[in-house]
Amino acid sequence: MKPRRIFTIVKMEMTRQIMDPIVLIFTTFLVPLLILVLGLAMGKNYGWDETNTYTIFDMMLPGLLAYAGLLTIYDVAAGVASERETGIQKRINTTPLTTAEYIFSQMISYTIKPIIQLVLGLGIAIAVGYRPKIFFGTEYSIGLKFASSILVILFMVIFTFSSVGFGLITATLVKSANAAGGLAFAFIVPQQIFGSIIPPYILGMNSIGWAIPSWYAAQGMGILFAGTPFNYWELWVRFGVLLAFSIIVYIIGILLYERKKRS
Amino acid sequence: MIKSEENNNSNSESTNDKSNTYAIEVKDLKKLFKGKRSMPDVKAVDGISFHVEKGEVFGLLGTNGAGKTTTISILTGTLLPTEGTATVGGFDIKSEIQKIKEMISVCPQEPAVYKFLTGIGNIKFFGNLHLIPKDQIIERGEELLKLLDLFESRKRLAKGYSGGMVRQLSLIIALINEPEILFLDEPTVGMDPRNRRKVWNFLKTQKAENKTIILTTHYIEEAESLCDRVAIMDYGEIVAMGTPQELIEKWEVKNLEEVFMKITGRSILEGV
Repeated sequence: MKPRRIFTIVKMEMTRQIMDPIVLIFTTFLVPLLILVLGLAMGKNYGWDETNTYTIFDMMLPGLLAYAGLLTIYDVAAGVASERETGIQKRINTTPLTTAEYIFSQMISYTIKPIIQLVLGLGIAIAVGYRPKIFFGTEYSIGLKFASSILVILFMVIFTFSSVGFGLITATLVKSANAAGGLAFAFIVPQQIFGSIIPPYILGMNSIGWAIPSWYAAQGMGILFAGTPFNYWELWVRFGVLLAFSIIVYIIGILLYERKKRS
Repeated sequence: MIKSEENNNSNSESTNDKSNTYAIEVKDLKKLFKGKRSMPDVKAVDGISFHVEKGEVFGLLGTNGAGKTTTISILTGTLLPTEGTATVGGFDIKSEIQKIKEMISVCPQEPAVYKFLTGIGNIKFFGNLHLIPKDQIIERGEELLKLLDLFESRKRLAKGYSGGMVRQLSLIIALINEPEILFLDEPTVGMDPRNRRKVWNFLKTQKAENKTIILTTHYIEEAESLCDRVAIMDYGEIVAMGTPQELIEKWEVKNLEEVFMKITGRSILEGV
């Protein structure tokens, strides 16, 4: 792995995103905007049982944040397929750039935006009344708050890696950028419904969620926001399963990409 | 030759080991594309054999679908052959493709440049992928931009370039790593006659630098003017091979177009 090649691809991908400001603004602010609207609409709604401690919005927020990583599937699939259409992918494949370098640079490039969305989304949620216990509870030390924040980001990063993998799989299955964009939703919509948008208290009873990476990302972040101690086993089970998901999806993505590279 | 950091470190020795072989050697190469659903299989390349000497400009001539681009794709590592063997720079195309990629460059048929980068931005991007020292990318890039009259436009986004300018930029990108072997897949297609001549003159300077060049083209004049030897391809096979003069004399005609017509019964520009 040559860092210079990875940096070159990351820089190019960043330039691509900046050079299309409308898409950049739309994709960066979609999740924060969604959080703003839902926060204003449901920030005071306690659902069927008004004795609940959490509002519907409190329950939904981790899933909404995970949604930011989910959109990466579309970005990667459309980007790679479009490069193949224009012949750039083929040209890149004749340079000494290795598959591992290319994939790793895609991981970095496409993880930056979800992290920005995570920070913006969480900021907006707090502005409209969301009070994650880990940040607002007085019983937690600064060190613990910091460690939890890092772990939340780590959940998002690992989840985004799985989305990059799904994006690469999608791009290898189709011939055009348009088709890639369409097929990407086959991976996005189930994860969106069963692992992101549906509040975790409903999803917690739904076994479909157990087979979906976004569920583990949303649940993991939810546990952390609730200020659950780090020795709580469910947190690490969710972290481990999400990591395993990402590695498997990623390996499949690399294998299919490598196969497509010379076919 | 500009040596990349990687070449300097590990591969210069192994490249030298292969110094006594041909630049390219192809034996019984076949590529079959499996037909999908009820469509029949397509033999894109059907058992071709040839070699290219170091420093030679070798032309692959043929109509659309003759198998020229497939042959180049196999030799440059973007397609695997169905059967047969080939070496590029002495390295096997199946097992040593990474070493091949460090010594070649390809100017593809499509104007494959990033439209959202400037001319010089594209050159830097591909130079960096080849790990060429940054100052050498600028120096060599500007020299090439001047040679092809693109220097004034180097800081403009490629999306503002004309079709001919994009093709010339694509050619410059292919030369930024000073490859030992250069593959040009119809480099002047779609160019106006003035730009085409400019590129021909430019390629002659590259030929004078003793580069090995594999060129596919529809243009007879291009092949006659630039190539030391040509192979005429038709339906995946090589139907004639030799110097342009040898072929013209053998078939007792005036030019390569007539050679092609005599062998295949069609014009080389058919379907272009």
